[in-house]
Amino acid sequence: MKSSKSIKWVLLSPLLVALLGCGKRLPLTYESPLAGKVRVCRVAVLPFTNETTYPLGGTLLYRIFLGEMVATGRFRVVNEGDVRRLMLRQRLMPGETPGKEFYRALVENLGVEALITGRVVEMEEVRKGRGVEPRVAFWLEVRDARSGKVVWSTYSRRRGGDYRKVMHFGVVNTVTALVKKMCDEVLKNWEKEGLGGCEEW
Amino acid sequence: MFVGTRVLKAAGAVLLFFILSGAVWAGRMALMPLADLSRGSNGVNLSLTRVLFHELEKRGFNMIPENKVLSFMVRHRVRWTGYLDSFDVLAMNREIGADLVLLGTVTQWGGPGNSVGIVLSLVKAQESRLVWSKTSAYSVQDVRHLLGLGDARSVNDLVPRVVDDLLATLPNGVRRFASAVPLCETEGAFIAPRYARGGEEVTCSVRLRCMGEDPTSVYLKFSGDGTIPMERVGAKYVARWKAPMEDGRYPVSLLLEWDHGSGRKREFFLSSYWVDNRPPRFTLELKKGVTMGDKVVFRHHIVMVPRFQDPEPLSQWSIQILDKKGSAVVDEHGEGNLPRVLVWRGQDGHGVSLNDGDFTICMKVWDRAGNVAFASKEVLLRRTPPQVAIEALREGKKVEVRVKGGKEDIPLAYWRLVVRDRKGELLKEMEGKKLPARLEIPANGDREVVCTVEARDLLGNRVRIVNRTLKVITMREKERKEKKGSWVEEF
Repeated sequence: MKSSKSIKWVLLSPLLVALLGCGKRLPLTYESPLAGKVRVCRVAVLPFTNETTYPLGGTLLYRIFLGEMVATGRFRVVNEGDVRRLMLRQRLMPGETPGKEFYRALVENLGVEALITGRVVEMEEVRKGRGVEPRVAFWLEVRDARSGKVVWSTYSRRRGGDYRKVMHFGVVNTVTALVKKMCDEVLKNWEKEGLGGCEEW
Repeated sequence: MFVGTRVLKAAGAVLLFFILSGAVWAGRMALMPLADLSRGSNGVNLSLTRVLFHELEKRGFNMIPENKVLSFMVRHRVRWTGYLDSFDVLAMNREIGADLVLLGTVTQWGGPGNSVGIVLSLVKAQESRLVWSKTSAYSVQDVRHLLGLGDARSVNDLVPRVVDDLLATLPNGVRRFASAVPLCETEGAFIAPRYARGGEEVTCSVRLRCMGEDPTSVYLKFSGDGTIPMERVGAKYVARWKAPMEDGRYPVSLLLEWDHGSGRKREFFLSSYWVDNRPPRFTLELKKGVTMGDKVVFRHHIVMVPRFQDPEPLSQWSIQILDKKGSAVVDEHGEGNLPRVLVWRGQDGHGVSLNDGDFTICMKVWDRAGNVAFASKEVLLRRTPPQVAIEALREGKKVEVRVKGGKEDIPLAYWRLVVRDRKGELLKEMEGKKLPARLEIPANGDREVVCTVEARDLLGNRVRIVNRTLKVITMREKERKEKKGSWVEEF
């Protein structure tokens, strides 16, 4: 009798583990009715805002996200320097909501179709054993450069341990590597959902 | 022999194509100093930049020497590393011959996780286009081996691993084309006034930053096809024109031309200006006072709330409170928007309380184009409590207590009379809203009554006469007193 019960548990436990592992699918992307109607090929990425105490967390995410966008080859990304120069000329401070004038200047001078804004809501390194576990969460918003309306937005939140495969293998130990992985996931998610990219049009 | 001729012909054709198209293969790379976020927003990591430089040289990249890059940065006042604008990238191409510009940021260096993280981006200088990017990061936790052999002990041990990872896919070599249109961009642009009235003169001044040839003609281009030439004044280009009469937003672009008719021109959007001929529409609402006809009466303070039909930003405002003679007792001015609510406590500009009087509040506002709007309201300041007089008259077997008073312009809200005998026994009480009033009590032979009167007007001004002893007089005695002119009002 006892042995049959333990056999049952042995059979059920993988199913249980699989069910427990079915949490929320990340990243989460919310599409507006404009998604699919607005071409998102040439994009400008505005400096991200940092809502955490991690020093220069916004810049860290910004540089990595920009790089990963370029690496996909799906987008034509405007230089950070050009975006910052335009912001300076239009007197737009980082984190400030752009007005109609700024959108117009973006379209006319940089020829962009979309604008990406972002904010880091969680970025920290938590001590765990002999090392640290990075934790990051951010929001990204893709806006139509002509109207400023949100086309889609994405939220992602991850910990270094989320990528564990077996034992310590797969665990991400640095904020940079975690952000890179998250950006890759977000960009793959957009591709999977058919959002943006130059080849689609 | 025949095959050899064909190969030679093909090679010649390829060579001819490259000569005609002006394209050559080149791959000189400029490495910008790495920005270091671990050292703050202005942080630079020159030691890691040098490590990367030598690694790139080792891998066969044709590198531009560090001193040339640094002197370029000084010349062009490049204060930030980690990014460059298109103008500087193109300037690097033309001035120091960079075909590729490698930009990098150290995202992590040390810290609690003992880690190194670097992002590199490669810009194709001729087109100022981002063509490649890679991120790599390692922590000492990532480099653990069996039995601890070859483990990373510090961040310096991680650098070769990160650099190897980054440079594994870095492309070398780009195609180079000759550019036809010189490069220019606006260093500063100024349109004044940004909000104008129809027909008002608008000025635009632009400072250009050009590489090589300056444009031969500079124009301002308006929506539609209208253009006006800009005149060179020192280092700036200036144009003046009259604003159109119609309200609206007018975008302005800059058009640069090299040798008219050559087709060499550049155009970019500058900014917009607005024409506004309509003064702001607003009314002045008063609160906390009592409305009587078309005037508002108050005792303590009055709240002024400006209500705008189409709210728009204001450039300035003023409030004047004038007395009956027309002299200003309060004169306040301000820049920008009006406060949402203004309170006047019946004081002059120095904070001294004013006496009762009739005043006019005049409010003026100017919008950003200078259109003026005006609103005024008349208010009455009344602080004096109502006046009340009481007398007791004997008529036969009755005593009549008469109460007179109140104000002409401010009605009473309430009054109350309590009559007691000399011993304090309550004889009668009465209350009402209008004066004069009479209260009859039976005569008990006493020559005196004790009265308490309280009266309050609509504004809350209150008078209270407590336990006033009144002599009970007959009508004849009263008439005699009045003839002598000795009747005195009781307060």
